[in-house]
Amino acid sequence: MGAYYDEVEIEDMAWDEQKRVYHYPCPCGDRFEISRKQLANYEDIATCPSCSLVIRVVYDPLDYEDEPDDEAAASDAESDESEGESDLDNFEDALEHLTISDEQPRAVPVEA
Amino acid sequence: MGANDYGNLGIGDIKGKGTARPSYAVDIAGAIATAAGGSVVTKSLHVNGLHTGPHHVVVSVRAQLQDGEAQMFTLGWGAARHGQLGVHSAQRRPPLFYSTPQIVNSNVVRELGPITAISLGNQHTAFLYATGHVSGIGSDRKGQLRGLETLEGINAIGCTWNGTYAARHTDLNGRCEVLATGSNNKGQLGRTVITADSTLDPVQFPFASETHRLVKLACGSEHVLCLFMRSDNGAAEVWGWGWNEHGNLATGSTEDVATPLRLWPPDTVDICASRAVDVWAGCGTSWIATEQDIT
Repeated sequence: MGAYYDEVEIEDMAWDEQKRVYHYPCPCGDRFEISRKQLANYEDIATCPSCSLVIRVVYDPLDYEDEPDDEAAASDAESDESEGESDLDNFEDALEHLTISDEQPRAVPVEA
Repeated sequence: MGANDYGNLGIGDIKGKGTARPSYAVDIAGAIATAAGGSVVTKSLHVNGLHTGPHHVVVSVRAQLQDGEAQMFTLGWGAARHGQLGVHSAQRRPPLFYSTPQIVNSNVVRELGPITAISLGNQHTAFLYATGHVSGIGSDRKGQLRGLETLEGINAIGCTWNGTYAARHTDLNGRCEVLATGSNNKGQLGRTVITADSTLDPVQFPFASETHRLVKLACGSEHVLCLFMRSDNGAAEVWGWGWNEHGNLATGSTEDVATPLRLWPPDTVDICASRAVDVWAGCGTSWIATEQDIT
Protein backbone atom coordinates (compact mmCIF):
# COMPACT_ATOMS: atom_id res chain seq x y z
CA MET A 1 0.00 0.00 0.00
CA GLY A 2 2.79 2.42 0.74
CA ALA A 3 3.16 5.17 3.27
CA TYR A 4 0.34 7.49 4.30
CA TYR A 5 0.28 10.91 2.67
CA ASP A 6 -0.42 12.31 6.13
CA GLU A 7 -1.90 11.57 9.53
CA VAL A 8 -4.84 13.80 10.30
CA GLU A 9 -6.57 14.27 13.64
CA ILE A 10 -10.32 13.80 13.60
CA GLU A 11 -10.74 17.33 14.96
CA ASP A 12 -9.25 18.70 11.74
CA MET A 13 -11.78 16.84 9.60
CA ALA A 14 -15.21 18.15 8.70
CA TRP A 15 -18.48 16.22 8.86
CA ASP A 16 -20.66 15.94 5.77
CA GLU A 17 -24.24 15.49 6.93
CA GLN A 18 -25.57 14.31 3.57
CA LYS A 19 -22.95 11.73 2.78
CA ARG A 20 -22.42 10.98 6.47
CA VAL A 21 -18.67 10.94 6.25
CA TYR A 22 -15.81 12.84 7.82
CA HIS A 23 -13.75 14.48 5.13
CA TYR A 24 -10.47 16.29 4.62
CA PRO A 25 -9.12 17.85 1.42
CA CYS A 26 -6.82 15.84 -0.77
CA PRO A 27 -4.06 17.68 -2.67
CA CYS A 28 -5.61 16.51 -5.94
CA GLY A 29 -8.71 18.61 -5.27
CA ASP A 30 -11.02 15.79 -4.20
CA ARG A 31 -11.29 14.77 -0.56
CA PHE A 32 -10.43 11.93 1.77
CA GLU A 33 -13.57 10.40 3.25
CA ILE A 34 -14.25 8.02 6.11
CA SER A 35 -17.53 6.98 7.69
CA ARG A 36 -18.31 6.63 11.39
CA LYS A 37 -18.91 2.95 10.84
CA GLN A 38 -15.39 2.53 9.56
CA LEU A 39 -14.06 4.39 12.59
CA ALA A 40 -16.11 2.18 14.89
CA ASN A 41 -14.58 -0.88 13.24
CA TYR A 42 -11.12 0.43 14.04
CA GLU A 43 -10.50 1.21 10.39
CA ASP A 44 -8.52 4.40 10.35
CA ILE A 45 -7.57 4.81 6.69
CA ALA A 46 -9.41 7.48 4.74
CA THR A 47 -9.16 7.16 0.99
CA CYS A 48 -9.49 9.61 -1.87
CA PRO A 49 -11.71 8.52 -4.77
CA SER A 50 -9.58 10.38 -7.33
CA CYS A 51 -6.02 9.37 -6.54
CA SER A 52 -3.83 6.89 -4.74
CA LEU A 53 -3.21 8.97 -1.62
CA VAL A 54 -4.50 7.83 1.75
CA ILE A 55 -4.41 9.33 5.21
CA ARG A 56 -4.53 7.81 8.65
CA VAL A 57 -7.13 9.33 10.92
CA VAL A 58 -6.00 9.97 14.48
CA TYR A 59 -8.93 9.57 16.85
CA ASP A 60 -10.10 7.87 20.03
CA PRO A 61 -11.94 4.67 19.01
CA LEU A 62 -13.95 4.77 22.23
CA ASP A 63 -15.80 7.81 20.94
CA TYR A 64 -17.20 5.84 18.05
CA GLU A 65 -17.98 2.47 19.58
CA ASP A 66 -21.74 2.70 19.59
CA GLU A 67 -22.61 3.40 15.95
CA PRO A 68 -24.07 2.21 13.22
CA ASP A 69 -27.37 4.06 13.12
CA ASP A 70 -27.08 7.40 14.87
CA GLU A 71 -30.82 8.09 15.37
CA ALA A 72 -31.73 4.65 16.67
CA ALA A 73 -28.73 4.67 18.98
CA ALA A 74 -29.67 8.05 20.44
CA SER A 75 -33.29 7.17 21.27
CA ASP A 76 -32.24 3.79 22.69
CA ALA A 77 -29.73 5.50 24.92
CA GLU A 78 -32.36 7.83 26.37
CA SER A 79 -34.88 5.11 27.26
CA ASP A 80 -32.09 2.95 28.66
CA GLU A 81 -31.09 5.71 31.05
CA SER A 82 -34.51 6.22 32.66
CA GLU A 83 -35.08 2.50 33.12
CA GLY A 84 -31.64 2.09 34.60
CA GLU A 85 -32.15 4.64 37.34
CA SER A 86 -35.47 3.29 38.59
CA ASP A 87 -34.02 -0.19 38.57
CA LEU A 88 -31.22 0.95 40.84
CA ASP A 89 -33.63 2.30 43.47
CA ASN A 90 -35.66 -0.87 43.51
CA PHE A 91 -32.55 -2.99 43.62
CA GLU A 92 -31.49 -1.39 46.91
CA ASP A 93 -34.93 -1.97 48.38
CA ALA A 94 -34.87 -5.62 47.31
CA LEU A 95 -31.53 -6.19 49.05
CA GLU A 96 -32.80 -4.70 52.33
CA HIS A 97 -35.98 -6.73 52.34
CA LEU A 98 -34.49 -9.92 51.08
CA THR A 99 -37.83 -11.11 49.84
CA ILE A 100 -39.00 -12.06 46.46
CA SER A 101 -42.14 -10.26 45.69
CA ASP A 102 -44.33 -9.62 42.73
CA GLU A 103 -44.04 -5.94 43.22
CA GLN A 104 -43.68 -4.17 39.93
CA PRO A 105 -40.84 -1.66 39.77
CA ARG A 106 -42.22 1.79 40.12
CA ALA A 107 -40.91 4.44 37.81
CA VAL A 108 -39.40 7.10 40.04
CA PRO A 109 -39.21 10.59 38.57
CA VAL A 110 -35.66 11.71 38.77
CA GLU A 111 -34.55 15.31 38.55
CA ALA A 112 -32.10 15.90 35.74
CA MET B 1 -19.58 31.95 -0.80
CA GLY B 2 -19.09 28.27 -0.23
CA ALA B 3 -18.52 25.89 2.64
CA ASN B 4 -18.39 27.00 6.23
CA ASP B 5 -17.08 23.86 7.94
CA TYR B 6 -14.16 25.73 9.51
CA GLY B 7 -15.79 29.08 9.74
CA ASN B 8 -14.17 29.90 6.41
CA LEU B 9 -17.00 32.21 5.40
CA GLY B 10 -15.97 34.54 8.20
CA ILE B 11 -19.52 35.50 9.08
CA GLY B 12 -20.10 33.39 12.16
CA ASP B 13 -22.22 30.30 12.51
CA ILE B 14 -24.99 30.06 9.94
CA LYS B 15 -26.37 26.66 10.86
CA GLY B 16 -30.06 26.81 11.54
CA LYS B 17 -30.32 30.48 10.70
CA GLY B 18 -32.61 30.28 7.70
CA THR B 19 -31.68 29.24 4.21
CA ALA B 20 -28.16 29.68 2.97
CA ARG B 21 -27.61 32.76 0.89
CA PRO B 22 -25.58 32.69 -2.31
CA SER B 23 -23.06 35.13 -0.87
CA TYR B 24 -22.23 36.89 2.37
CA ALA B 25 -20.30 40.02 3.29
CA VAL B 26 -17.54 39.61 5.83
CA ASP B 27 -17.48 42.33 8.45
CA ILE B 28 -13.86 43.49 8.45
CA ALA B 29 -14.59 46.98 9.79
CA GLY B 30 -16.39 45.55 12.79
CA ALA B 31 -13.50 43.26 13.59
CA ILE B 32 -11.03 46.15 13.48
CA ALA B 33 -13.27 48.29 15.67
CA THR B 34 -13.39 45.51 18.24
CA ALA B 35 -9.65 45.06 18.13
CA ALA B 36 -8.90 48.77 18.34
CA GLY B 37 -10.82 49.26 21.55
CA GLY B 38 -14.48 49.12 20.73
CA SER B 39 -15.72 52.55 19.91
CA VAL B 40 -13.46 53.38 17.02
CA VAL B 41 -15.18 53.49 13.65
CA THR B 42 -13.13 53.27 10.50
CA LYS B 43 -13.41 56.03 7.95
CA SER B 44 -12.11 54.06 5.05
CA LEU B 45 -11.00 50.53 4.53
CA HIS B 46 -8.65 49.40 1.82
CA VAL B 47 -8.03 45.73 1.27
CA ASN B 48 -4.41 45.28 0.25
CA GLY B 49 -4.53 41.56 -0.20
CA LEU B 50 -6.74 38.54 0.30
CA HIS B 51 -4.93 35.25 0.75
CA THR B 52 -6.50 31.85 1.03
CA GLY B 53 -5.48 28.39 2.09
CA PRO B 54 -7.45 25.14 2.17
CA HIS B 55 -9.07 25.99 5.52
CA HIS B 56 -8.24 29.52 6.48
CA VAL B 57 -8.10 33.02 5.08
CA VAL B 58 -5.90 36.04 5.85
CA VAL B 59 -6.52 39.59 4.70
CA SER B 60 -4.24 42.56 4.85
CA VAL B 61 -6.09 45.85 5.17
CA ARG B 62 -5.26 49.50 5.57
CA ALA B 63 -7.86 51.21 7.69
CA GLN B 64 -8.33 54.91 8.22
CA LEU B 65 -9.43 55.22 11.80
CA GLN B 66 -11.61 57.97 13.15
CA ASP B 67 -8.72 59.71 14.87
CA GLY B 68 -7.05 60.22 11.52
CA GLU B 69 -4.29 57.61 11.53
CA ALA B 70 -4.08 55.01 8.81
CA GLN B 71 -2.93 51.66 10.10
CA MET B 72 -2.22 48.28 8.63
CA PHE B 73 -4.09 45.32 10.05
CA THR B 74 -3.70 41.64 9.37
CA LEU B 75 -6.88 39.69 10.03
CA GLY B 76 -7.81 36.10 9.53
CA TRP B 77 -10.58 33.58 9.98
CA GLY B 78 -11.12 29.87 9.45
CA ALA B 79 -9.19 26.94 10.89
CA ALA B 80 -7.06 28.07 13.81
CA ARG B 81 -6.35 25.00 15.89
CA HIS B 82 -2.70 24.80 14.94
CA GLY B 83 -1.98 28.44 15.59
CA GLN B 84 -2.09 29.41 11.93
CA LEU B 85 -4.06 32.54 12.81
CA GLY B 86 -2.08 33.37 15.91
CA VAL B 87 -3.21 33.03 19.48
CA HIS B 88 -5.08 35.56 21.55
CA SER B 89 -3.53 36.30 24.91
CA ALA B 90 -6.68 35.34 26.78
CA GLN B 91 -6.41 31.77 25.56
CA ARG B 92 -3.59 29.37 26.03
CA ARG B 93 -4.60 27.38 22.99
CA PRO B 94 -6.39 28.60 19.89
CA PRO B 95 -9.90 27.31 19.19
CA LEU B 96 -10.77 24.87 16.44
CA PHE B 97 -11.56 27.77 14.16
CA TYR B 98 -12.51 31.42 14.13
CA SER B 99 -15.74 32.02 12.31
CA THR B 100 -15.40 35.80 12.21
CA PRO B 101 -12.32 37.89 11.42
CA GLN B 102 -9.75 38.24 14.19
CA ILE B 103 -6.48 40.12 14.25
CA VAL B 104 -3.68 37.66 13.58
CA ASN B 105 -2.06 37.86 16.95
CA SER B 106 1.50 36.66 17.12
CA ASN B 107 4.65 38.21 18.56
CA VAL B 108 6.54 37.47 15.41
CA VAL B 109 4.00 39.07 13.13
CA ARG B 110 3.79 42.21 15.23
CA GLU B 111 7.47 42.97 15.51
CA LEU B 112 8.79 42.65 11.99
CA GLY B 113 7.16 45.65 10.37
CA PRO B 114 5.10 46.02 7.18
CA ILE B 115 4.03 42.82 5.49
CA THR B 116 4.46 42.61 1.72
CA ALA B 117 3.27 39.08 1.02
CA ILE B 118 1.26 36.38 2.77
CA SER B 119 1.01 32.75 1.80
CA LEU B 120 -1.09 29.99 3.32
CA GLY B 121 -0.55 26.26 3.62
CA ASN B 122 -2.86 23.66 5.05
CA GLN B 123 -2.11 24.43 8.69
CA HIS B 124 0.39 27.28 8.57
CA THR B 125 0.75 30.85 7.38
CA ALA B 126 3.92 32.51 6.10
CA PHE B 127 4.61 36.26 5.99
CA LEU B 128 7.13 38.22 3.95
CA TYR B 129 8.13 41.64 5.23
CA ALA B 130 9.37 44.75 3.48
CA THR B 131 12.69 44.16 5.24
CA GLY B 132 13.14 40.88 3.37
CA HIS B 133 12.54 38.79 6.47
CA VAL B 134 10.12 35.90 6.68
CA SER B 135 8.12 34.45 9.52
CA GLY B 136 5.72 31.57 9.84
CA ILE B 137 3.03 30.60 12.32
CA GLY B 138 0.95 27.50 12.73
CA SER B 139 1.79 23.84 12.54
CA ASP B 140 5.43 22.81 12.28
CA ARG B 141 4.60 19.14 12.16
CA LYS B 142 6.33 18.68 8.82
CA GLY B 143 9.04 21.22 9.44
CA GLN B 144 7.24 23.75 7.30
CA LEU B 145 8.26 26.62 9.61
CA ARG B 146 11.82 25.51 10.20
CA GLY B 147 14.50 28.11 9.80
CA LEU B 148 12.22 30.78 8.34
CA GLU B 149 13.26 33.32 10.94
CA THR B 150 16.89 33.09 9.81
CA LEU B 151 16.17 34.26 6.26
CA GLU B 152 17.19 37.65 4.91
CA GLY B 153 16.84 39.42 1.61
CA ILE B 154 13.86 37.37 0.46
CA ASN B 155 11.84 38.66 -2.49
CA ALA B 156 8.98 36.19 -2.73
CA ILE B 157 7.37 33.43 -0.72
CA GLY B 158 4.97 30.62 -1.45
CA CYS B 159 3.39 27.74 0.40
CA THR B 160 2.39 24.29 -0.61
CA TRP B 161 0.05 22.52 1.76
CA ASN B 162 2.87 21.31 3.98
CA GLY B 163 5.87 23.32 2.89
CA THR B 164 7.21 26.86 2.69
CA TYR B 165 9.31 28.32 -0.10
CA ALA B 166 11.34 31.52 -0.14
CA ALA B 167 12.97 33.00 -3.23
CA ARG B 168 15.90 35.37 -3.20
CA HIS B 169 18.09 37.19 -5.63
CA THR B 170 21.33 36.72 -3.81
CA ASP B 171 23.55 39.30 -5.47
CA LEU B 172 23.85 41.95 -8.14
CA ASN B 173 24.48 39.33 -10.79
CA GLY B 174 20.90 38.21 -10.34
CA ARG B 175 21.87 34.82 -9.00
CA CYS B 176 18.74 33.46 -7.50
CA GLU B 177 17.94 30.82 -4.96
CA VAL B 178 14.76 29.11 -3.86
CA LEU B 179 14.87 27.75 -0.33
CA ALA B 180 12.45 25.10 0.75
CA THR B 181 11.40 23.48 3.98
CA GLY B 182 8.59 21.14 4.93
CA SER B 183 7.25 17.82 3.78
CA ASN B 184 9.31 15.87 1.28
CA ASN B 185 7.30 12.68 0.87
CA LYS B 186 6.66 13.50 -2.80
CA GLY B 187 9.87 15.33 -3.56
CA GLN B 188 8.40 18.73 -2.78
CA LEU B 189 11.70 20.08 -1.46
CA GLY B 190 13.31 19.78 -4.85
CA ARG B 191 16.56 18.33 -3.64
CA THR B 192 18.11 15.00 -2.77
CA VAL B 193 17.75 15.02 0.98
CA ILE B 194 20.63 13.62 2.94
CA THR B 195 19.31 13.82 6.48
CA ALA B 196 15.95 12.60 7.71
CA ASP B 197 15.15 15.93 9.33
CA SER B 198 13.78 18.61 7.12
CA THR B 199 15.89 21.75 7.02
CA LEU B 200 15.64 24.99 5.12
CA ASP B 201 17.90 24.42 2.13
CA PRO B 202 18.08 25.47 -1.52
CA VAL B 203 16.20 23.70 -4.24
CA GLN B 204 18.74 22.02 -6.52
CA PHE B 205 18.26 23.44 -9.98
CA PRO B 206 20.45 21.72 -12.58
CA PHE B 207 21.66 24.97 -14.13
CA ALA B 208 23.99 27.76 -13.14
CA SER B 209 21.80 30.35 -11.52
CA GLU B 210 23.67 33.26 -13.12
CA THR B 211 21.89 32.59 -16.40
CA HIS B 212 18.41 32.21 -14.97
CA ARG B 213 16.44 34.98 -13.35
CA LEU B 214 13.42 33.94 -11.30
CA VAL B 215 10.31 35.72 -12.47
CA LYS B 216 7.61 33.87 -10.54
CA LEU B 217 7.28 31.17 -7.91
CA ALA B 218 3.98 29.26 -8.05
CA CYS B 219 3.10 26.72 -5.37
CA GLY B 220 0.43 24.13 -5.89
CA SER B 221 -0.96 21.78 -3.26
CA GLU B 222 2.09 19.51 -3.32
CA HIS B 223 4.16 20.68 -6.29
CA VAL B 224 5.99 23.86 -7.23
CA LEU B 225 6.59 25.69 -10.50
CA CYS B 226 9.14 28.40 -11.27
CA LEU B 227 9.15 30.73 -14.24
CA PHE B 228 12.63 31.84 -15.25
CA MET B 229 13.96 34.34 -17.78
CA ARG B 230 17.30 33.37 -19.24
CA SER B 231 19.88 36.06 -19.71
CA ASP B 232 22.01 34.05 -22.12
CA ASN B 233 19.45 33.37 -24.85
CA GLY B 234 16.42 35.40 -23.77
CA ALA B 235 14.22 32.33 -23.42
CA ALA B 236 11.51 31.92 -20.80
CA GLU B 237 11.52 28.58 -19.03
CA VAL B 238 9.20 26.83 -16.59
CA TRP B 239 10.74 24.37 -14.17
CA GLY B 240 8.84 22.25 -11.66
CA TRP B 241 9.13 19.51 -9.09
CA GLY B 242 7.13 17.60 -6.45
CA TRP B 243 4.01 15.47 -6.61
CA ASN B 244 3.17 14.29 -10.08
CA GLU B 245 0.44 11.69 -9.69
CA HIS B 246 -1.86 13.57 -12.02
CA GLY B 247 0.76 14.22 -14.65
CA ASN B 248 0.91 17.84 -13.61
CA LEU B 249 4.67 18.10 -14.16
CA ALA B 250 4.48 17.30 -17.86
CA THR B 251 6.95 14.45 -17.69
CA GLY B 252 4.75 12.04 -19.65
CA SER B 253 4.51 9.82 -16.57
CA THR B 254 3.04 10.03 -13.08
CA GLU B 255 6.29 9.50 -11.20
CA ASP B 256 6.99 12.16 -8.58
CA VAL B 257 9.81 14.54 -9.43
CA ALA B 258 12.42 14.97 -6.71
CA THR B 259 14.67 17.58 -8.38
CA PRO B 260 13.48 20.20 -10.84
CA LEU B 261 12.68 19.29 -14.41
CA ARG B 262 11.85 21.66 -17.22
CA LEU B 263 8.20 21.72 -18.20
CA TRP B 264 8.39 24.41 -20.86
CA PRO B 265 9.72 24.72 -23.51
CA PRO B 266 9.28 21.03 -24.18
CA ASP B 267 12.35 18.82 -24.11
CA THR B 268 13.11 18.88 -27.77
CA VAL B 269 13.69 22.60 -28.18
CA ASP B 270 15.47 25.29 -26.23
CA ILE B 271 13.66 28.29 -27.58
CA CYS B 272 10.10 28.11 -28.69
CA ALA B 273 7.70 30.35 -30.55
CA SER B 274 5.23 30.09 -27.67
CA ARG B 275 6.91 31.96 -24.91
CA ALA B 276 5.91 31.31 -21.31
CA VAL B 277 4.76 34.48 -19.64
CA ASP B 278 3.04 33.29 -16.48
CA VAL B 279 2.52 30.17 -14.36
CA TRP B 280 0.04 28.97 -11.78
CA ALA B 281 -0.15 25.76 -9.81
CA GLY B 282 -3.29 24.23 -8.29
CA CYS B 283 -4.34 20.89 -6.81
CA GLY B 284 -2.49 18.44 -9.01
CA THR B 285 -2.73 20.90 -11.91
CA SER B 286 -0.27 23.26 -13.59
CA TRP B 287 -0.97 26.19 -15.85
CA ILE B 288 1.37 28.01 -18.18
CA ALA B 289 0.32 31.09 -20.12
CA THR B 290 2.22 31.59 -23.33
CA GLU B 291 2.40 34.29 -25.94
CA GLN B 292 3.23 33.75 -29.52
CA ASP B 293 5.46 36.16 -31.41
CA ILE B 294 3.56 37.59 -34.33
CA THR B 295 6.56 37.89 -36.64
